[in-house]
Amino acid sequence: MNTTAGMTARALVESIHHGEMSVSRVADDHLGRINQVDGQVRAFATVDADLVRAEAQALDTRLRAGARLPLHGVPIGVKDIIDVAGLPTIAGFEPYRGTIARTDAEIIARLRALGALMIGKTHTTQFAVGDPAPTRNPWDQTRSPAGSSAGSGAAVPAGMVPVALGSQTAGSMLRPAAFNGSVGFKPSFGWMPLDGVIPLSWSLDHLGIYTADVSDMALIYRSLKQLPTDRVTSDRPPRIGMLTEYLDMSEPSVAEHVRSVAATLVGAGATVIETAWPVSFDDLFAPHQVLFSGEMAAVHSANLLRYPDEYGVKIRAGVETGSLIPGTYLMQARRLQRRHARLVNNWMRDFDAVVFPTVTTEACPIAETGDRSLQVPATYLGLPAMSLPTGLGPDNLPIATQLIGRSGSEDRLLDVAEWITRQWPLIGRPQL
Amino acid sequence: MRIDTNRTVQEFRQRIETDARLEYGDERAGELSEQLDHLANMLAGVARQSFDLRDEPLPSGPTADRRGDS
Repeated sequence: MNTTAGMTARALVESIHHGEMSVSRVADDHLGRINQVDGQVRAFATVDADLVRAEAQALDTRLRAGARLPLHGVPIGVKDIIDVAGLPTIAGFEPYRGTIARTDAEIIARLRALGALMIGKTHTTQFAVGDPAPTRNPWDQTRSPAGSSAGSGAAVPAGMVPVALGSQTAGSMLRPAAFNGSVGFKPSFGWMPLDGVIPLSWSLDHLGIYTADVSDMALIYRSLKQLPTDRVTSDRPPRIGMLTEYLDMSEPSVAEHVRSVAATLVGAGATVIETAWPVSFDDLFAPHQVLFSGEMAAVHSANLLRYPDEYGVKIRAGVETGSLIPGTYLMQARRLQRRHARLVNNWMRDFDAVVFPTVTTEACPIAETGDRSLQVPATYLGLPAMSLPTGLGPDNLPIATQLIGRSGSEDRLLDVAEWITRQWPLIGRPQL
Repeated sequence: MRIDTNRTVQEFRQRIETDARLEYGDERAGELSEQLDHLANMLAGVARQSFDLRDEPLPSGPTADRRGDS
């Protein structure tokens, strides 16, 4: 192989552990890939090549001293609302350009302790809201990479990094995974620490992970959990609920695709039952939107007064209308969130996972970031959710199947995802 | 604004538009029309479900300071 860019994280770690390649070589290859294709994709906001090479040399020194870390030398792209020491956290907001983070966010510190190499900061929509980022969809540059984690969602399938970090307050992790064809995973609310991350809504903010396949996702998740990373997963066919309400909200081609996936799983021994959650989409969506808007307004309204001309059109309108929400309704939305999470978690005891499309459509035109509807439920309920790129649609763009588990069921959800990908292979990478 | 589970979307819309005009002026309130429509719908959605919360435990207050209490 001429370059290590495009290899899985698991293959990179194995080669580095066995001394077949250095972390410096991996760093140079990935910096080279970014130079080669990021002019088209525009996934990265900041890359400091000197800093990356210095950190790679330090990891090589540890390797020579005998260290074999679980993520030794794995290049990671970091959404630009997460602090990485020595790099700016711009968040798509020009006044923040040039403000250098002095310390790592907690998740970055944990990943560094596992041996990971931070390769750069990836573009986000402004403050992770709705004004599009400069990133292009690597499958079709006239289409949206979604948002808000646009750069991270696109960088992985474009082969610039094997792993990237994103965040989700409505649909910002899983929708970019679906539009760009990466595997996206948002663990339960609170599982990934938010210290050092610019907040948007403290009742809803999650961090998440992008990889090219489920095996790499298990590597990152299990490393963060300090578990062995070579565990053989369960062969037990899963019991799955297919939520027809969400299939009915999707474009027919998308719904038909997910039904085809489900039929194949049944053929392989899974139990798939068409069913419905005990709370309707409309009943979940209303309190989510009130929490999102009201808490976003609390976070941003003072800053908007200070920098009125620097805010994007959509976030400014969102903050202004969110500021009008009466406090009593905000509190009721929070109480509804707790009630709904309890009802759905109890209901989910009968299933390993529920499935429905990640997004209602293929990637939309570049001027928008896409429909958040189908990603909101897992965010609002705090449930672990994964997007698997299971097919290509009529426009030859990725379509994704979403898996959601009970709160705290990450281990089983990853087992289910690995079982599914043994029955139904994921799509490949776009040509760039 | 009181929680009224029967308040209609239109009543919410009128109420928040009045607030928007006071806060941002008539021109900006007009520009926010689409967002105000959405917010009115969402507030009505919360109001409609609020009666379900009569037996719901209230969110707790700060607890960290209680560590070490006898």
